[in-house]
Amino acid sequence: MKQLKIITWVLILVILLFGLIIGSLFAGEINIDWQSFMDYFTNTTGSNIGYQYIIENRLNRTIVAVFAGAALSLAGLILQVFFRNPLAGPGVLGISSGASLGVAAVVLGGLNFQGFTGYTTSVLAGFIGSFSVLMLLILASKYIRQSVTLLVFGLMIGFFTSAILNVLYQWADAESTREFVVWGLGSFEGIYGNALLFFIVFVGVGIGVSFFFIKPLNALALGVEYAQTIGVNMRQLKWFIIVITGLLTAIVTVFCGPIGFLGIAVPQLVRMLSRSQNHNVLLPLCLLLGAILALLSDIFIRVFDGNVPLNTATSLLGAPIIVWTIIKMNKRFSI
Amino acid sequence: MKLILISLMLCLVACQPVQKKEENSSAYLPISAINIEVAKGFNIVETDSTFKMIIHSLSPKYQFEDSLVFPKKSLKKPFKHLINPIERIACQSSTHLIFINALNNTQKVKGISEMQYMPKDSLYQVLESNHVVEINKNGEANIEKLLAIHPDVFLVYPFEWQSDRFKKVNIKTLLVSEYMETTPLGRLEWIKFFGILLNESEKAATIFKEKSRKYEALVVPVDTSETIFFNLPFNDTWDMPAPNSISGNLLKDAGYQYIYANLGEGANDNLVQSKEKVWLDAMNAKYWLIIANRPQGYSLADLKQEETIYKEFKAVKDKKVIFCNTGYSPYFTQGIIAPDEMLKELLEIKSQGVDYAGVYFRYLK
Repeated sequence: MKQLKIITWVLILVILLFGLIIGSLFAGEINIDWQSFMDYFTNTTGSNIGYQYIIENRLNRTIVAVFAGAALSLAGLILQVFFRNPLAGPGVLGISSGASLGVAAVVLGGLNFQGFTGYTTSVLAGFIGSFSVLMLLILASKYIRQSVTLLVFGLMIGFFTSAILNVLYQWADAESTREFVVWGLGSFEGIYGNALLFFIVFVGVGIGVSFFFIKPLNALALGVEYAQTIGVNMRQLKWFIIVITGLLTAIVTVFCGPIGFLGIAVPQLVRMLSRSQNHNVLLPLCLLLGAILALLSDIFIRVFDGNVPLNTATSLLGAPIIVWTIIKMNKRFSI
Repeated sequence: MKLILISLMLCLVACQPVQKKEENSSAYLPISAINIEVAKGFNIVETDSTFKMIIHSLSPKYQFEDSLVFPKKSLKKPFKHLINPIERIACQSSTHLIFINALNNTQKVKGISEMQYMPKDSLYQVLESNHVVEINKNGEANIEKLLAIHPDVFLVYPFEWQSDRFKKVNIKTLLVSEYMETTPLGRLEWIKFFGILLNESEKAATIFKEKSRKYEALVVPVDTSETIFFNLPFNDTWDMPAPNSISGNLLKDAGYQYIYANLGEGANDNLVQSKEKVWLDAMNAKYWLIIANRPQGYSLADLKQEETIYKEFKAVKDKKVIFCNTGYSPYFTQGIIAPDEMLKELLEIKSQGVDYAGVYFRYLK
């Protein structure tokens, strides 16, 4: 019965995602007719070449939204299991801030290595930033037993990195500052060509590898001791979590800016829908729902002609879910 | 004898201020000399005993007003709140500095905001050698730094204005809103405002007269085939100046047909449109004017890399992308008081090839 319910949910979410992908291609200030879509997909130049670029742009941002939403939600799910806290996520634990600091070092601090492209340097710096914060968190978790305290520790890291960012602003020129501020508002737009390929490959690999760790994650959800007794290599699992969540967060943050709430809110919603602790169920649902919410946010901002930042849209969607989680935590604190 | 000597000395002492007053009075200007012709953001109102310089908003969305009152016949003693003569000035914007510099009063500037963003030109070096204090780097002005330089007046922009903050510590402020003007000459005329403050009204009037004459002589009617659009997008949105703004009118006076000439409610309301819309509207425009800060050597190839669609734009195909690199050109500094020179370049560039290189504008190649 429960399995049927989960299959039903998966089906609903797949249909919803498919519908939103179609809707996303049509969402925007410019109305595109079916003929233009047909021209684009059949590689025929229509009457207005501008339409072809608009369709391509919408298609690209749709792909980015789907992958970014899925990646952040997955990172959130894994972190929540590892830290045994439903409020853990790339944003709350300071991992996104770490990635932001890495990007800031490149954009504001001029830390650009010769021979590397802007993207490569930023991704590398973002990864080092998020990876470093994760290492710090894991180190701290040895001494801090209470998960709430660890969350506060993560928040402090976030504040600390923000402070360093403010210091970097003091030396940055006006254009770099503006570039960084705009990047900080978040966007799924403007990624195409090789950058898009890079994004898809890395996020895809991160997501793909995660499926091999479903069993250890299931065991970890029941406790570290239990996981160890059934032979889970905790050291290996810890490294997997550092690398995967660090990589996913860094890639999405570098390309799309620090996107809040999706990483915390989606795993919560998935648990509420499925009422399952099995990561065979949670992981695909998380990917689907993450993609859906990210796409919904992107469509939402296009309804307002791009005048609403992506972070505002994800906050509007995610914040109520988190509030609901906190209320629920007061009643029953467990994953 | 003693009584005669004392009387003589008293006479001498008593005469001195009278002489000084006479010297001052020779510099007094009649109100007609500071007649405001084009600027709309400030005006002078005359009463029986005084005249008042009023600074006010030009936007219906954002209201503010500030004023200075002067005793009649004198521009030298504003008795509202400024000490005259003004010897120490703090500026919230480098724009203020440009006007002051044009009137050869740069030495009076003791503090300026966000010096780090100023071009490192000769004026910057003058500020450095004068030990001018950077009163803020990002955000609000540092009160302690302001107090340390104790300016006679702190010239401020009206947005996010916090008069109480400065009033509490007795820092005298004056709003400057030259950026709200709708025409290049309107903004240039604010030099008269600075002339009044610095007791350089005659010089200010001369500069304005000369430059506005040159500017007006260059103005050409709009050629509807010379279509043009502005700037670059940020994420999803593309901001362009309103048609009835300083930049919009500068292009109009140079004979360009701004593709959004019929849009926009007010001069200060930037046109914010979706990137997709601009792609369609601007694709066939003859010219593209980009005013942005980019690395030195920024090229047409770099522009094409920013968005794949740009290679389809007519202006890009025909190499008619007019570029003003604000990081390396004096567009936001000297350009404010040289609209005639900018207009001249915008006219010249139309008939020139890709190698044209003016002080402000060049073609991307």
